[in-house]
Amino acid sequence: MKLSVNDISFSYGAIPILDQISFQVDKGAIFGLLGPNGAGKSTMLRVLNGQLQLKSGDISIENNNISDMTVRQIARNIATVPQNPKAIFGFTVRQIVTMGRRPHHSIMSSLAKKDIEIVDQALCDCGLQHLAERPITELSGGEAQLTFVARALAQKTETLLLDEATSNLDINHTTTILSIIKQRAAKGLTVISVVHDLNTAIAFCDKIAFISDGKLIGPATTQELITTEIISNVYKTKPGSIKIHKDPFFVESHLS
Amino acid sequence: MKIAINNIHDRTEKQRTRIVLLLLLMALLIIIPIAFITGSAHLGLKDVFYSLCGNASSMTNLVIVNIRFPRILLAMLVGAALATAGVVFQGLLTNPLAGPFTLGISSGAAFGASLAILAGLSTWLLPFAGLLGAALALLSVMLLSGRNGGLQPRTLILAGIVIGSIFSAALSLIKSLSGESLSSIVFWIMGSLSSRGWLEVRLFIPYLIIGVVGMAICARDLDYICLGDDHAHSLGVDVVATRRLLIFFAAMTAAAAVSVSGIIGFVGLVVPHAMRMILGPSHRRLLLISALAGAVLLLAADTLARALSYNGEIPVGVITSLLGGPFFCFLLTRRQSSGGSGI
Repeated sequence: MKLSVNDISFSYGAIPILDQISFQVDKGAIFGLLGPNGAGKSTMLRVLNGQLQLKSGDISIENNNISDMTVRQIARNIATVPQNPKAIFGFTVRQIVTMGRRPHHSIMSSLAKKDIEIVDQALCDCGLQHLAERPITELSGGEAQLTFVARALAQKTETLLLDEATSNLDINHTTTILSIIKQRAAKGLTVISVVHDLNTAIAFCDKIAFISDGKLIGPATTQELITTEIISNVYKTKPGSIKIHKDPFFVESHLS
Repeated sequence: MKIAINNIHDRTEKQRTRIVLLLLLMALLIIIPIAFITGSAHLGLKDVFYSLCGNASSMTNLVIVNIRFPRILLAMLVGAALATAGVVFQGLLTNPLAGPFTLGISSGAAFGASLAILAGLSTWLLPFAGLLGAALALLSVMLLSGRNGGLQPRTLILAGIVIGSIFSAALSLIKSLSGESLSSIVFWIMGSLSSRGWLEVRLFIPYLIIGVVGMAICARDLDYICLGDDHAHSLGVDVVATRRLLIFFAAMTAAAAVSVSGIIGFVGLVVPHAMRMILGPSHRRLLLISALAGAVLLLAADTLARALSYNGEIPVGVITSLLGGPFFCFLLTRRQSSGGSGI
């Protein structure tokens, strides 16, 4: 599903966070949002799923403006994996993944056989069947994060927003989650992901954009945007602290 | 005992719910007849039966139908109200140590009722004064924590503490000015079900029904909200509106309970906590079973209060706190020894 962002601005009180930003993400593409801490990447995702109200501009999915949709209608179109989801109460993995079916039901209705099949499929895709009945509070950070990805997949939307879905995860869980998302994108899932690690962006994203001082730099391919000049401008890095290799394409950081 | 508890944990949640439901209903069936025959007037089960069938002497009828029956009913209803409000506040504030009085509702109600006692208003007006005081406290908490898209758990708890403290200070002021009314105020605050009749039951039931039905309808969304606002929103929940509704229903239920019975501690903390450990965190199930468990606990405590009465009655609030405190300690140590998350 194609997502269009047209000239949007957002501010917290008098502090501007996003300033006249426009971009489009095609169906089945993986779009990476990068930028320094506090640049407004998570705010951008909250604006995209309608959690925060825009000051100006509009966001549309296949020409349907999201400001005309109810929260439930948005949730049928856009799933979000929040940053560091907290789990204080011991819901089981299955219960959390089943929550993904909520937007498709009224408040009083119960699950149908089809919903249970979708939940089982999401658990299977994320390799979580053996943990299905375990409380989330007893899982490792990686397993818990995987549970919330499975929950978003069970939501069966055509757009997925990821807020640093692989931060704090080991290499095994990182590659597992990114591979699952890549496979779904190949089948038409549109993905917008906040990414911190430049090498993850290179491996994972079709196109990227930087958010810096409220403005968007990009979108473009990683080859076009990850350059020494742009990186040092956006992240205010010291000269020589990063080195960008072109073949193979990766970013190397140096400790001073 | 340990084996029995572990066995319960191994079963699926539905089976566990059925077992707990059955145990609670059995407990209720045992305690209700005991509650009917406990008290200063010595009456047996036969008297109770004849009285409820309308074939007893007018004195027996008076005791059974107009004193004990409404009191038993009120104990169960207040217990259910405190437990359900506790379930919602614990979920809403994502804090297993929260209770129905965390947002300063009890202090507000006590302030309202004390002011009414000081002003010399009739006894039947006290519940209304309590409700008004609780509403005032809640409104202040909502206004204080509702700014900037708020009603966030942390802000709510802080606002509840601040407003609760202000009302407690005002209550102390009233007590110091009250002179002869001091004992009435202190007794009211301690929480008791003595001298309550059908008037209180009738007054309380509408609030309880509206509150519990409202909480039950929103309970599933509470599951999502207690995993975080981002999570709930992404599942299509209007977080602020749902939170506002839940606070309203839970606070109204708790305030109505305080208004008819005074401040009865621990029921709203211990029951939801214990039920969550046994049944898991799904709020709809938790709400309904906790209602029953709250009813059983408060009826048992009130019956005990009457049985132990010597030279005047022990307020039931004292019994629930004396029994609830150690039980809560037991739950905490069990949780720690099982290494667990258990909530």
